[in-house]
Amino acid sequence: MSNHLLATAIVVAVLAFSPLTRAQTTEKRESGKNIHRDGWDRIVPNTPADQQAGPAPVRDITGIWEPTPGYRDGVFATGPKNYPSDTKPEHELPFTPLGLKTWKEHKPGFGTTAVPIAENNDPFDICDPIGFPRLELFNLRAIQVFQTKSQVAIIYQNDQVWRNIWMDGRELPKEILEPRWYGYSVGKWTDDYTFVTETVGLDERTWIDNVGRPHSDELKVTETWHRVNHDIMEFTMTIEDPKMYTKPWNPLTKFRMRLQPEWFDIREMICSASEAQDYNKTVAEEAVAEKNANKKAQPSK
Amino acid sequence: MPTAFTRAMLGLLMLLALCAPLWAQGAYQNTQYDKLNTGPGGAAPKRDFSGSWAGPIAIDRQAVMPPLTPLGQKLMSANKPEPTYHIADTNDSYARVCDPLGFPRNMVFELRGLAFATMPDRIIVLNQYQRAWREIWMDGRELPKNVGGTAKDAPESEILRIFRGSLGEG
Repeated sequence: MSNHLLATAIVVAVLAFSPLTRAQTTEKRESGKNIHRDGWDRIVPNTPADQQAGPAPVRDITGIWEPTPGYRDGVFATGPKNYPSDTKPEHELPFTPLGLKTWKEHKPGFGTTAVPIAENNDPFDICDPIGFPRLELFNLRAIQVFQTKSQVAIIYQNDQVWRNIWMDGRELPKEILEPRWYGYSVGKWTDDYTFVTETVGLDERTWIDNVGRPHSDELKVTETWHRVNHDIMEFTMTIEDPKMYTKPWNPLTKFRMRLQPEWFDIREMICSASEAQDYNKTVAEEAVAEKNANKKAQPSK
Repeated sequence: MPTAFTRAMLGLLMLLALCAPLWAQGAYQNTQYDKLNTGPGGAAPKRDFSGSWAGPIAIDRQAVMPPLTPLGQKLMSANKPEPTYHIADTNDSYARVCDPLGFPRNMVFELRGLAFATMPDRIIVLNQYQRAWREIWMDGRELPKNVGGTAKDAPESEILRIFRGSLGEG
């Protein structure tokens, strides 16, 4: 038997007697599609449908949370759940004339006003900070909340950023000397299971969502985090911006998040400007060139 | 009748008297700053870094070169840092287009405010710069041995899956 054949036989034998390896391989091959894994590649078990959750702890929303029932339910590529950018009249926002004008100046990659990626002017497309509230209205994925006596801090899978919400009794700043990508936030418990935050001072360069809904320096965002039981939290957001919208609106209402195991590691998900540039050069520009070539090839009417 | 000089001196004294509270405020702020930054502090709590931390920002211009291997030397010589090559010629993707600093560079460059959240099974570090966070596990898990391996085996990596998700496909 040649060395080559011997080696092959050994490999075949090893594979045949290694069901564990086979199972692992199968599992890995399925991992991209069917199995939810955390940042350390650990399988996140599905929650049994009949699981009974215990009562919620008092004034405590700490822990790792993900959208549920599907962990990708917070992607909101075409706009937040209550107001996707489509042609349905019930999804039209109460724009002021300035709000509508500003929205039309925005050229997103998604929704009814979408343009090809090479022509859009989405600030996040060049990896500007995603900002708040878009942080929660596009790619709302895993978050981790921790609390001290004076503040609540949230870390996000989305863009690997954090923000803090002061609970030390301070008021929101009345004069904003320095607008911030993630604003200035205060919060309070309105009952033992409901934490309400208010945020102002947001940088006007950011978009509210992935379809380019605009905001002004008068934007005020209210978040309501209500813990229903031990495992489930409901998230509601209210947008108020009298310059852009004639009345407040709720992009999300009672959007459900589920508490994850303590070992859950949040995946890294960071916008890389150099990768975005490469993508725009290799894919987006070529796509536009192809589109233009097709237009030329079509006989004129 | 007071001379012009006397009137000027009286005016100056009145102005100084009116400014006394402002002086006091300034002195108070400086005292607080000194206490915060140079005071001895109390005893450290055990196994607890929790809180927000800041310190002097300094760059050690006299730093010696690390002990590079030949490969390290080769890679180092291919890098064109911004302080030497100017923004026009650097190939530092952070300096050129604001790529993430990454770790450990975010601890040796632009190390500004830090906050630690200490929990029984992990510590979370919040960096002021780039508002990035990092998690350090203390639950006994071992470091992963196959970084990148799963992605190679899988027909579709998590990154691609996330990208598809952002396109509304996932």
